[in-house]
Amino acid sequence: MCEILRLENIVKVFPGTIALDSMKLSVNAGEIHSICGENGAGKSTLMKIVTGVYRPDTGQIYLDGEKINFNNPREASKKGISIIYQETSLFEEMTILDNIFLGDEITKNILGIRCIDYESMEAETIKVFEMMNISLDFNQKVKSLGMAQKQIVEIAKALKSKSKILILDEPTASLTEREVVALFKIIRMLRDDGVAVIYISHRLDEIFEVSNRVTVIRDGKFISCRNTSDITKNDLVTDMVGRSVENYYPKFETEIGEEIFCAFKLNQFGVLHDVDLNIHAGEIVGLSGLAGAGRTELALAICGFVKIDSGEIILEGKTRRISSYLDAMEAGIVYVSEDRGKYGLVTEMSIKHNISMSQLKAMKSTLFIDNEREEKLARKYIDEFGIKCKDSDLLAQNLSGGNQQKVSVSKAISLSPKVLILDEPTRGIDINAKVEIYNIIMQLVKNGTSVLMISSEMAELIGMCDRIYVMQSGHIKGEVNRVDFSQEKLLKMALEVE
Amino acid sequence: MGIESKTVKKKILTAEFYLLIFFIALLLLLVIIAGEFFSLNNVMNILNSASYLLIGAIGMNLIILTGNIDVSAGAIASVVAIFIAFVGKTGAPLYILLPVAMLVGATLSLINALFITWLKIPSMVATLATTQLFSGMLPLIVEGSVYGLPNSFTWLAFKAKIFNVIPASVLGAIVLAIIAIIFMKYSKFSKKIYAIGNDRSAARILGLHVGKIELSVFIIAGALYGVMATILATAGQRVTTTMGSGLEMTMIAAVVLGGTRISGGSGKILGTVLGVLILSIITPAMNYLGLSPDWSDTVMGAIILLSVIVGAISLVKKRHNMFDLKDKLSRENKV
Amino acid sequence: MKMRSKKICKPSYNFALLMILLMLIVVIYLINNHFLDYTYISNVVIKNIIEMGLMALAVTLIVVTGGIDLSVGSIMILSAMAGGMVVVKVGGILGVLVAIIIGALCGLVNGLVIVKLKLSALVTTLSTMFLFRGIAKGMSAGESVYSYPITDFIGNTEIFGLQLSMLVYIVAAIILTLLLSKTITGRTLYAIGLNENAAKFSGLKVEKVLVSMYVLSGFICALAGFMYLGRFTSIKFDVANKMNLQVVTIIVLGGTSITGGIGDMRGTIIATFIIAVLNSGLTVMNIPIDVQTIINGAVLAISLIVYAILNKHRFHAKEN
Repeated sequence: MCEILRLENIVKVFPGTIALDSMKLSVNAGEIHSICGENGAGKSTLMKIVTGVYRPDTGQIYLDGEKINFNNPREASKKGISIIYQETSLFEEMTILDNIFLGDEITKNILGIRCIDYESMEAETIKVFEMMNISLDFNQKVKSLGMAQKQIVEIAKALKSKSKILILDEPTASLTEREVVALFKIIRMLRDDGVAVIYISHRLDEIFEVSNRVTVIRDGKFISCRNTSDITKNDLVTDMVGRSVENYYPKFETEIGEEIFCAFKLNQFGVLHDVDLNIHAGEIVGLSGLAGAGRTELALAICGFVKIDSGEIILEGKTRRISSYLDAMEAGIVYVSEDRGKYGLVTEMSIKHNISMSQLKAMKSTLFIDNEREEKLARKYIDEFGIKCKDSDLLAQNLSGGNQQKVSVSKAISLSPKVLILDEPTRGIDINAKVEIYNIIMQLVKNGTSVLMISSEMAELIGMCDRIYVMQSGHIKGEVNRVDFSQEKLLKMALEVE
Repeated sequence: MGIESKTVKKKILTAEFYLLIFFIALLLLLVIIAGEFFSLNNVMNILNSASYLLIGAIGMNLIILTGNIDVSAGAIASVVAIFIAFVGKTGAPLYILLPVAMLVGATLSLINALFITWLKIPSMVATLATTQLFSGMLPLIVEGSVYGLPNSFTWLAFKAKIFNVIPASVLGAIVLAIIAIIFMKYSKFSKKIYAIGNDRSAARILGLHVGKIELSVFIIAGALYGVMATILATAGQRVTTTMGSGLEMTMIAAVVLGGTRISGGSGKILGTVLGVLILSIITPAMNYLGLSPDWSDTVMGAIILLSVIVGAISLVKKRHNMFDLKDKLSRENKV
Repeated sequence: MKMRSKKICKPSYNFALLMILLMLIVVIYLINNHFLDYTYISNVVIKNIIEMGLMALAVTLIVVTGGIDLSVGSIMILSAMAGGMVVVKVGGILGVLVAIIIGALCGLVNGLVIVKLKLSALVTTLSTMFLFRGIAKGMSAGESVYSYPITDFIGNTEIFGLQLSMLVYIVAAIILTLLLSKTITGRTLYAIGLNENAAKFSGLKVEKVLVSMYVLSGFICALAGFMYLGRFTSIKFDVANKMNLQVVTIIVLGGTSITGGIGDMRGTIIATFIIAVLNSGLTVMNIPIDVQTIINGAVLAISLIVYAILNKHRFHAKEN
């Protein structure tokens, strides 16, 4: 195995922050090399430098022993470096064939004019598909494909351009377990063929399953690069975090009261099937499952965002009719959505305006919104949750991920909910902020609020919850109590098909 | 065997197929109800207007495919018409008038393109502004119309006939349409047009020069508007300042009726051809069926609205994740 | 590291607009001293802009959400015509009712198509602009429709020396300014313009508010229609285009961003007066109507250019 990519002393500075600090990286041809690090560690900046989106301020990049400089992404991809992001950048209304060859179509000369040679393109595509052992009708439009198939098209694209380095950025986020297996098979095939695969992921299990080596970065600095066979998950976490796992979750015993919420035989055609779920006062209930299991869909149904076909929602013993989110809020059920940038906050509005957004009626005095009241409300949570800002007029977009999440959560908590549904509450925020969020959650349940936590991080659920429901394909597969918690048990339940 | 016939069926039952059926149905309806519709004179007139409409609509189609829109097409046509009227007064023949028209059209369209690509002004408002500028220019130059044009000017309309009967403009339209269809299928440039209309930023990341491509599209469209204006202007010995007025709506109607999505990225020239054909017989058909021509705008507007709604409904039908859809659609609300 | 989005500072933009307005007034006054006569101001300057100014207020609310209403001129014409035609057959009160209902209905059509069918506002109102105007043309067979006593009253009465129509405009301006800046509805509009999904997830009644804004726009167009009919005593379908364009010009000049989330009523109001002064100033300087068309187009073009240049660094930040 020889080295194909080498980064030395890479420094990249942005106004106010050092994104990469003497970063180094070494990737060999014919290996699957994972890059691991918390959000904000510098992974995406690093990849942007490798793919030519950014130029490093200082440092050298060597490709196949040769020193190079990329001026733009096109140059990088011409040199054989391809990257596949989570949100694939395919053109939906164009065919698979068009997408694979876009910008690089094979042409032939007819009467002196260059025309696209569809036969040659089709032949080559068939070859690539055979190599990956898949079959797709390449004349169908990309929009009719599922997420996994789209990723396959992206990989085919990279293969067709004979990529030497293939970077996969969180590829399994929206894949089912079966699709992940298929993806890994393809990646291993690529590796055996001599391609260098850089695999970026949070999922430690996957990293150990598929990669040869793993590089850990933290705060823009290189921490370690070791063979996966030589280390354990704990070692990785320690490197990523700078502290050991045990002190992570600030969970303590709280008083769990009567059943306060019950979802009874919820059905939504094609999405939810006979879902039964209950929550007690002061309890933290987890909702686990793989992507596509229906967890967010369940939350949306409970909160009235989407209609249910049959079933009941019972709060404090009374059946409630929830036909809109307003009904849910009135009943005391509040939802904090998973993508704070897209759904949780209006980032171009101030902290103050964001926090008050769910209760503008209460902010009214006579006809108009009272600025004083909004100010007071914001102040309360800025102080209580330690949101780092000069004042409440700061635009939410100027906050760090963790602080943004605090604002998003404040908005919900300020409604004094009986049941707070948190969808991926710590996604994309750094370790310290995560702990602060966990502390907020513990305070909540100590005061009697119930929490339903949806999370893809099993360790997080195991660390924080009293009970965990496991979902799969819109069903509740099972329920596990804290005493019986284990990652293996949860995963098995999430995977087992009837 | 069963799967094969399914894909064959899929390939034939396209939107264009349904449009063709609709067109034929309309024709049949006319044959039955108003046989006198098919007088030679009438048919030739319709063919002529369909021809110039199609040529302009092809240009509009390209613009809409890139995710833009151009409501100044009619104004551009008016300016070109007046311009070549002045040139035509000197006795210049068609082979001079046509290139001049294409040049002027392309230049005006270039102005639109600069607003849109360089200053990044949304195409809707940009072309709204230029419509005023272009059409507002004319009354300053000419009072009402240019008249007394020589025979050399009207050669195309009066003298250039195939088999002494079919207007030459029809030949021009057919040739241009064929070139356009081949171009959109077999050129690398056409793929770039579709890519931009699909996802502008992804196209940029891929290395496509979005601005340059949009510029080229507008210039091509402008030249096509010039051809359209030539056919329009040379139809008689007087050219008014409002000859092109309102044409853009008809062109847009033809394009969306033909299946091109208004947000860009998908649509075929063949569909636009059928759209033009259908629209060309609707207005005169309405006359013959006793409906006053004052209602033709209503019909046009209704067609546009319905075509666009139908296009959107098929999107809403796919109830994936409710919020995936919203993201997709809010990205599409760019036009 | 998130980059600060440099929004153009709205208060300073409004201030610049105010300066332009004052400058214009001074320049025109120097050319023709009669310009500042009260009668001249109320008769020529103000009167000519009332209808468009009114509609611009309503459309500002829509543009803040990231939408637009290009059909305002057509709705005005259609409602006025429908009312006028009914009056001839049945009588004044019913005519008024019909006009208002038609206006609101047109707005409802816009609102429902845009919100429920999720079509872009641009395309929808472009189509309805054409459709409604077409209906007006068809209904009136291309002829003019004439005013009736109620419209004469609305269009022409003076109360305490102030035009009734001007009074209506002032009241509407005050109400809508307060609506946008201080009410829950106003906050909802801004939220929709900046992040519609987040607004929904906060429990804001997004769909209801959006549809009602379009209906409000239709209603105000009907109101404007009364005034227009009263002032000009007759109305024909071809006035629609000019109206639509003027309204868009006012909105863009006023600094309300077409992409939504940015803008306020103050800018629209100042822009309305700038256009009013400009138009009447041109008349005072004896510049023919034809030239005025191109000058209006130039104003729109220049506003767009200026806005684009001011926002260039904002776009750059977004693209990164």
